[in-house]
Amino acid sequence: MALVFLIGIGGVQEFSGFLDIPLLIRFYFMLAGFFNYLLGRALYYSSFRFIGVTQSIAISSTYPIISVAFAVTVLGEKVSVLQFVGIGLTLSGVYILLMKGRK
Amino acid sequence: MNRLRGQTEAVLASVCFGLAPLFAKKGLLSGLNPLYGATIANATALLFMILFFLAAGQHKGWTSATKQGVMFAVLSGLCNSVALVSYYWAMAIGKVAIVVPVTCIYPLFTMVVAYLAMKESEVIDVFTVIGTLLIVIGVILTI
Repeated sequence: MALVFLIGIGGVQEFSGFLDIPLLIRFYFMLAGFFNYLLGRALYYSSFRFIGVTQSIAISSTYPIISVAFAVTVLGEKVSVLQFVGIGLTLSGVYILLMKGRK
Repeated sequence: MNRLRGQTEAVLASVCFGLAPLFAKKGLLSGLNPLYGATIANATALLFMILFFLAAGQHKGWTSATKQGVMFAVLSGLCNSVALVSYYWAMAIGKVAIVVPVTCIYPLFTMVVAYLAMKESEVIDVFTVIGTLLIVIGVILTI
C-alpha cells in the first residue's frame, strides 16, 4: 500500500527519473528496503505473537540508538553529550522492559 | 522461551530498522530525491517477499486466513501508508527538528490504545509505563 502511495506521488514528479539512478545507488536503497521493510518488519510482526504489542513496539522503537551506533562506527560521526544521555535513558527503558516479570 | 524469542525478535527488528537508514544515507549522498529512494526500497521488499512466499510454499497458507485477520492486516497497512505520507507531508511543511521527535512518541499511543482496546492480552503495568517513557525520552534526546 505504501508502495502504491509512493508510486502515486512519484508519478506527479518525473517518473523517468528512476532510469537515471546509478546501479550502486539503487543497490543501497534495495539493501535499505531489505533490512527495513522485509527483515525488520517480519521480525517485528513475529515478535507480536510472543510478547505484548506495547513491549514489542517500545523495544523496536529504539532503532535510532542502533543507527547512531552504526553512524559512529561506520560513518565516523560524533556523538554529543545529550545523545549519550538519550542512549543511556533508552537502554535503561529497554532493560526494564526486558526484565519485566522475570524472577 | 516464547517470551525470550519475542524479545530477541523485537531487538533484532530494531537492529534491522537501525541499519537501514545507513544504506539510505549512502544512497541519498548522491543527491537523489528521497521519494525515489523510498519507492525503490519498498519495491525491493515487496519483490523479495513475493519470492520468499512462493519459494517457501507459504502462499498455500492464504486459504487458512480468516476474513477478520485479512481485514486487520489491511487496516495495519493503511495506517502505515497514511503514516508514511503524513510524515513526508509534515517534513515538507514543518521543521525537521520538531517533526522527527513528535513522530517518535508513537509507542505512547500504542500503550494507551492497547490499554483501552486490548485489555485481555496486554499487560500494562508500572514497569511497562516507566520503560516506554524512558525509551521515548531517550530516543527524542538522541535524535
